Amino acid sequence: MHPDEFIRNFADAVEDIEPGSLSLDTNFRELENWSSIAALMTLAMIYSEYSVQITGNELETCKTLGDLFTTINSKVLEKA
Amino acid sequence: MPSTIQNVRIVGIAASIPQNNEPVLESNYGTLEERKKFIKTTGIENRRVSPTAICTSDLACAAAEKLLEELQWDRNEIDLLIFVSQSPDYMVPATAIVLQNRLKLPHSSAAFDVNLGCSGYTYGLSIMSSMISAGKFRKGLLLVGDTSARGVKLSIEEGVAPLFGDAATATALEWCEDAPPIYSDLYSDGSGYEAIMHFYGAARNPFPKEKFEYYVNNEGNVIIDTQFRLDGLEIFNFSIREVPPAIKKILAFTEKNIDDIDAFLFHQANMLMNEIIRKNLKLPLEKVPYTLKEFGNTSSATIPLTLLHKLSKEIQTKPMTLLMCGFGVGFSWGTVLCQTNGVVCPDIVEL
Repeated sequence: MHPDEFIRNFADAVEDIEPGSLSLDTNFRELENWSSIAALMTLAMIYSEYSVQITGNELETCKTLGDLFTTINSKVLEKA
Repeated sequence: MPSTIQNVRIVGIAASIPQNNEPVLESNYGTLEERKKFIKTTGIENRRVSPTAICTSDLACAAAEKLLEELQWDRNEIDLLIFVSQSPDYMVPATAIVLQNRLKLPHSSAAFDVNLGCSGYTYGLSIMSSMISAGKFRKGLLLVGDTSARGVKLSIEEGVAPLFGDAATATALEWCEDAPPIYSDLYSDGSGYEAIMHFYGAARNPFPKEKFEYYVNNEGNVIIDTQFRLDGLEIFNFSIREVPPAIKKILAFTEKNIDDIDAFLFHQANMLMNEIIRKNLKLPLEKVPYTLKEFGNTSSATIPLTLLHKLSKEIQTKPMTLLMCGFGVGFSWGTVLCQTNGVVCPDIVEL
């Protein structure tokens, strides 16, 4: 799992975001397009791309895209 | 565990919806852009919303009257009435009992409520067909539905989205010795009880007066505590985790594969979630009818309403093997696999 690919997937899920404007330091909750639907789309993307589930609470504790990336990564490794 | 229910036939299905249609695009939910995005994600474009004068029981009663008229059943032969809903008329008594009288069913009929939402149709079918199969009951009316949309204030800040529509349906079941078996499997996981919830009003948290009043929270959002609560992310996780294995299990139990099933009727939750489930199971789109566009999520009524709206011609005229799956509140979920033949389907009643 590569961070650039993750950021592209995230931008696709949330829609109308230029992946180039995002980094692992981005506080995704402060994005203009962040919404409850964007949160749902993000979980759906994580499930279909990485085959792991992130709970609402886990998402809540993530502040940056880097935090989310780390959470997903540890679940993927746990599963492997 | 999946089980086999013998000697029960689905005789007819009817539905009733409010006349009043509220297109999502024209609603006061968020901005136009947000509404467009909502439609794209959920697939929900229209919802039928009841005026406050119409309760779930009124829709259920209209559906039942229409069905009884069409079936020409002698009401005195009906011995079982089950009302599955999360929007009963009263805390006490059960709405089914009120409906026994309204529908002029005999005193010899058993009537009770089942408190379930999105999983309610599969639960209701399993409960009623098991009771009939056991031999004591001969003819039953299964009424399911909710008025989740009625009286709810949409608010994008609080995530109260135009997901729900109002509807109720009536299904007639009867003892029939040569009927093909009905297979059913029911599940529950109460650790998710907070994900879909009416927090106030019953014994644990009686209604405090101030909870009826709107207030403005720290972020400036207008809030009322007594509305329905939904935790969309947890519901999403639950559904994509539990539904595909439940479908695989009932298929394995009945030794059937996807090709043997004429239609998969899923609870209509939202397009994003339902499509993930469909793709996970590799089901062809043409076998998975949707009515989210027309009616939104109508709780326990989505499965029979979708059957009537999309497949009424087929289920009236030829044998159909159907796999239904309801999932949601509790969490609870269930599957029913059955073969119908010549189901009576009157037109959907508008109230």
